[in-house]
Amino acid sequence: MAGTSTAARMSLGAVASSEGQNPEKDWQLIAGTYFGGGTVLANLDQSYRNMRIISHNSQQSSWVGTNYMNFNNPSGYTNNTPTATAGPSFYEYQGWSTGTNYGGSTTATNVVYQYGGNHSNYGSHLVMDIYNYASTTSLKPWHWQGYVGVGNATSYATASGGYGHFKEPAIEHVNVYQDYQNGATSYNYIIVYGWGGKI
Amino acid sequence: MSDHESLIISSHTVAANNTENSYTWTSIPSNYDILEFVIAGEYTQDTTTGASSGMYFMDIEMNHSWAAGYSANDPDVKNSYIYTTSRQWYSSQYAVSDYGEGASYPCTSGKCIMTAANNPGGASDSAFGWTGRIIGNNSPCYKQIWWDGVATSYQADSYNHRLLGAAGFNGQANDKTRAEAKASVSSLRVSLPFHGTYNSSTSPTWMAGTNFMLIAYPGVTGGW
Repeated sequence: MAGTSTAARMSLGAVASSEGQNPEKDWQLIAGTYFGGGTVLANLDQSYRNMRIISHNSQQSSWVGTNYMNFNNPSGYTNNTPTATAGPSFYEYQGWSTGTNYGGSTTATNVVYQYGGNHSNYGSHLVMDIYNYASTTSLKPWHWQGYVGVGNATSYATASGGYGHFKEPAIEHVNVYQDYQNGATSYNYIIVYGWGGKI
Repeated sequence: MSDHESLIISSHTVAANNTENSYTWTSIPSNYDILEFVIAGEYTQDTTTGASSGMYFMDIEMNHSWAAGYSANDPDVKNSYIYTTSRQWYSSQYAVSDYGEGASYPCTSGKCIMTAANNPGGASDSAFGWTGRIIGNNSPCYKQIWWDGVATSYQADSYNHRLLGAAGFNGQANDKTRAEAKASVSSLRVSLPFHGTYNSSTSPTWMAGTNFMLIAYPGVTGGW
């Protein structure tokens, strides 16, 4: 098909436009690894429009913990995102035993905070989209949702989510960090896709 | 069966600040079961005099009278529903129900509200991102739409929203059968309403880098 230019209704004023439409295949795996208590995926491919992160975690501690995911700090396992990158960051979760809670702020530096992850033999996962992640001039809205499953106990089954945006620096590095730092490597993985075509 | 097949139908990026407040896809192919629209970037605050206390929505419209073949009737949106969360009202809900002919703005004539972010922050720090899907576009059933996204700024925490929304097209508004509500979505428009007289420097506009993408999944004939 071909797109057509369309003028906005006068009541809306200003400009409307449309591009030619030529279907192309999408989605490319750009990074991924198994890891223990944390890991860094550094120097991510900057050629795609949007980023999707899929992470699955567990650990061997005997108590509930938190999964963190932070950005643009390539130095190691950290639970912070540099203030030059971190914009508003919020999270919320609801679950059995965990109750309903929310947190974050417009100045938070823990970008992804997934409470309930990591309890012994529990599985947890999250899926996160970051829009326009490679731009060096635009804000980068993001949101994620996840779940902490029930393993060897009935407590702490928790649904969770978060939202916010990054400031102008491109998102080049992703850190995953877990409270107790004792998960077996085979328990955890993170994969990163580029999607939405190339920029 | 076929492998996962995600096809980018189109991608448009705003080139400069203060130049666009409406974007339209037309002549969308009807042979895909699922259409996905991904809209992400920044929009400016409505600084028009008298607008500071207003609500600022982003709307989406489908198969409207401006599209070829739909000159007579617009498909009404009925039971449009938007659910949002925020730092302070983490379970707040905004239900927009049964809007249709004669109903008042902002849902008249089939618009779905895409954000409930009111009074976003300064001119350069309000971000938004949505992924939405139109389900069953290649089927003869009434059309459904849902979206998942975010709208954030540096204003109070309560103005930062996670957005989850869904809506269905009404096929029988005011006792009129609306075939358009069952037809494939062939046109799609996203727009930023404004207060007063449009002015590119004071009315809401998308900022440079904002991207509008349409993705299709063949569905039954080609996988998701």
